[in-house]
Amino acid sequence: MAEQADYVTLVSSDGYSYVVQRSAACISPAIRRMLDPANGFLESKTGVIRFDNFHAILLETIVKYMYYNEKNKDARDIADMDFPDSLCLELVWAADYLDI
Amino acid sequence: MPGMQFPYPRKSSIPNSPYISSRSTSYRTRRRLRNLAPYVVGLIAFVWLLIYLFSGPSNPDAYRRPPAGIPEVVIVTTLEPHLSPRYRDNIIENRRDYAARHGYTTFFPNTTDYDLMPNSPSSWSTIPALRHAMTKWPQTPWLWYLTSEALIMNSRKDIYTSIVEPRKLESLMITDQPVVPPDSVIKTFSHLRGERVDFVLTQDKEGLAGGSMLIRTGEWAKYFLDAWFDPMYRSYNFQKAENHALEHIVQWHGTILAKLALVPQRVMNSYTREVGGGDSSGLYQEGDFVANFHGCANNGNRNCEEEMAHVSRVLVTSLEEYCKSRPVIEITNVCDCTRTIMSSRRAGNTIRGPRSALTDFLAANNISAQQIRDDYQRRRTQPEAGDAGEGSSAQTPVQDEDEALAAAAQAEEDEKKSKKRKRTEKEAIDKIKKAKATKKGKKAKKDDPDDESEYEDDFYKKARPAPGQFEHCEICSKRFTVTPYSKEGPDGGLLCTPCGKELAKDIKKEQKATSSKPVGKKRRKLESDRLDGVARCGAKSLVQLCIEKVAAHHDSIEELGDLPQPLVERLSQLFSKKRVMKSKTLPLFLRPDLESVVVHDAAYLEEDDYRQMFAVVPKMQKLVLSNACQLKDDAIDYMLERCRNLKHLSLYSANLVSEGMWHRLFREVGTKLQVLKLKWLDAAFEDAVMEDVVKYCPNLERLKLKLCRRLGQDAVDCVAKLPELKHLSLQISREVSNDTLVNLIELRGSGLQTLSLEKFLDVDDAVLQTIHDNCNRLTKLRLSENDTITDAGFAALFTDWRNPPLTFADFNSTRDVDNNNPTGPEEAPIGLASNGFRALMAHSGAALRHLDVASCRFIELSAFIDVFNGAETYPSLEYINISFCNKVDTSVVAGIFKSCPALKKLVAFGCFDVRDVVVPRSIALIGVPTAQDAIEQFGVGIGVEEAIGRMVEVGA
Repeated sequence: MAEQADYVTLVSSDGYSYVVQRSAACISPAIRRMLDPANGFLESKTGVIRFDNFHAILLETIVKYMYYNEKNKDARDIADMDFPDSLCLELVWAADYLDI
Repeated sequence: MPGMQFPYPRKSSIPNSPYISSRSTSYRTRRRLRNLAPYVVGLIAFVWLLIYLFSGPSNPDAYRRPPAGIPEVVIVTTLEPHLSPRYRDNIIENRRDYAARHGYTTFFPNTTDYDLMPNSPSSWSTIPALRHAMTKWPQTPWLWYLTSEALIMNSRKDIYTSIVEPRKLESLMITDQPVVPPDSVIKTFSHLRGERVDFVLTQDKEGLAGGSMLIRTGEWAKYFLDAWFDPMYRSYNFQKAENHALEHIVQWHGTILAKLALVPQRVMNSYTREVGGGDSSGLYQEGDFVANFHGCANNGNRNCEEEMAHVSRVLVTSLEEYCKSRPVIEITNVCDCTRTIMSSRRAGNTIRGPRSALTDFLAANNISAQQIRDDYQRRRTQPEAGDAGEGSSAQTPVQDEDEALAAAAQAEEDEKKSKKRKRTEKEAIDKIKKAKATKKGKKAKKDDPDDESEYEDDFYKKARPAPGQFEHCEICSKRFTVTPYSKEGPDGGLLCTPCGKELAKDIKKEQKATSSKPVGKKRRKLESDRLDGVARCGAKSLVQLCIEKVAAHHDSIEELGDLPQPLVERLSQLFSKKRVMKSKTLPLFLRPDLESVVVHDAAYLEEDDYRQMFAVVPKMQKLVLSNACQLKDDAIDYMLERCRNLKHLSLYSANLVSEGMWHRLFREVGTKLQVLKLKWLDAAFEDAVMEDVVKYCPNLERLKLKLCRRLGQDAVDCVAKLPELKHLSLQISREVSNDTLVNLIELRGSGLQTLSLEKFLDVDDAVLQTIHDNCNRLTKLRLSENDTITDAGFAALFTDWRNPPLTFADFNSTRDVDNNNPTGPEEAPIGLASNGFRALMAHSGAALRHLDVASCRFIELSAFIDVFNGAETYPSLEYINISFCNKVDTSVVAGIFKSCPALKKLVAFGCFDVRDVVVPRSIALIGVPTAQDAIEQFGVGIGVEEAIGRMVEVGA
């Protein structure tokens, strides 16, 4: 198995791709499992994950959260991340799916 | 001076009405008057309107020149008789020379000429002197009082064109300025027409500067001077005599304030020395009209004569220098440039005073003394282009100039004149703005262009009515009486008191909203979250963020969409926590496809909501209703009709359900019921119901009965008959014998996975022995609040127990409670003590996740050290509560950190020997506060080894 790249690509249902640091993306156990070579998913070879049920705005917010989480890993008393109110129901559903 | 008085108005003072209301008028008279009143008022208003419409300015001729032969201005200077003759002559000469140039006249009374009160300062003579001058020259429009401490420095300046000409005055006057600096509540009018001004004055740093003032003669002046000279003021012992009296009347009498124009100090009263500190905007600069050697007469260290001589010398030398250094021919060219200025001088005035010899000489050579001085100054200030002083000194027409040149320029006069005026006006405005900017200290930089617009607004604002007048409120349009405290509305108008208050409130609110949340509150919330175990290191999960946001917008959400059931339940928890689970929000959580309804705070729900609940979610298998205080028989009845699949039922404080309905409930839905949790049931739920539970709920696996007041021993007996029971939690308020419990455990113990017995105070070693003998599948054991079980009993329980290691052990508050013997019996300790604790950890340490030994205070330090020795590890232990185990010290905490790699939270309230702990990463230590620290300490970025290393250093 070749050395895994530091970045993975997340693609939204409408075709936008987000290149995300692997460590940030892997805060989601679901994504981590997809990328784990041991599980043998296609995604672990290509490093590209398609989310057919996340549109770009949703996926972008998720990517933002991934970095927000990464950045504040050891921080205390941090301000909550802000995102549009209109997105929160979709987002809670997506977050539940990704288990983040 | 002990009786010294100050003239400032106090905010609290209430003017007393001199009129005492009379009750003597008969009722009839008053009634007749009342009937007449509207007509009278109407008539007065009409007359006033006529006067208002057809009258011009108060004295329309006042700003025109008086007829020939009448001096335009009388310069009044009162002289002290003790002044030296030379000084006297100098002063008089100075005034006369100036007056002669402009066709003015002078008046030099002695201060002793007037009959003042005994002991009142001679400076009061100013006022009768002015009155005297007014009588002597009744047709002269303006009086100029100039103190004997001042010299006229720029004789080219003409009172008319450079000060009192109405447009000029409007451009000069300082509007909206505290009358007495810096903070008098009374301010000069924000807009006043130049024609209406009868009194021109300047301010110095300390207050009004009475050293130089212009008064328009007439009825108002008479009134004003008489008011000022009132015996009451003279005898009042103001600190600065007539000057303070002036400040007083200006502030308290709108009629005087309405006629007053404050002009920048340097227009007519430049000081040669600073008074009171601050900026130097009032200091004399070359070219200024007047130099006031303020204070030189009354200060023993100063000598007016010497100071004045010095200044005059400077003037003369500069002039001489100039004449020497420049050929005459060039100067004529300079004169060309100023031709327009000269041509704009007044044409009709033929009065000319005698010229001095020097002036004549220079004039003959086409040189004006003023011109030379101006030029000199221009050269000096060239590098700093646009100096403020330039504008005001250059604007006045040159007095001594060749008439021919003026005539030559006649053609282009009009156009240039207007241009010139615009320019000079603009300069004057700029100058005032600058002066204002420095005075208010708003910006450190004088030339900040941002200030412009602000002051522009000030200039074009609507006139502010005087206090006491009526005005219509800008917001509510109601009429109200203007006070000095009236607030300004958003569009510049005034507001009535209620609207003003509202506005102030709004502004305050806005400020509050913009300012960030108080840190203290936020911190308190954080601390509280930590103690609840909510807070943790790092970011919140996205799901948590989202559901918090949803909860925050609870009132604007219409539906939740098809969220998965666990999320719906989490959201419901949050809604309950925020107390927003109400009739309006409940439907969010009701969906036909869901199999659960979880409402942790149903206190706001009413009968209809319960019906809706059961109507919408018929497939309901799990029903959790806490605080279900309005759940009634009817609702239960409906539920029994609709929801036949109930497997999980949690009802807390459903006290309106009758006994009969409880029986029916279990009879009808009992067969499928697997989980039953009942808490806080008071009235109707009793042992007999439990018999039904046993009879009709054969599949019950999990049973929790807590705080149900009427349950007792019989209920426990019933529980023993539940065949499938796996999880049992009991907290029975009535007495339950040990035999009953032994019987229960003997019957059910083999199947139990959870056993929780809270507050069974009399449970003894025999019960523990029964657990030891019968239970072999327990993962969770709680025996809390007991003072009977001995340490030996606990040790026996955990020794050679067939049960696999527990994951959850809670033995909090098992100890002897005897105030007379706080250490308990020495021989056989009561409660979980050293041996029991060792045995517990030896048995369950491998799997234990949650350990609560709070208040087990007979556990010795040695036992803790043995258990958490660093060599032995407890791989699953995440939570430990050792609060009030008072033997615990720092080494135990360090040992815990070492021995428990998975530890997340250590609670140690009341462990006073724990000091100077360095908390490793990812562990939260709660309850060991030092004065500065938060009650919870988070590990920051260091590992266990390092933390312990540091602790050792600290301890050493």
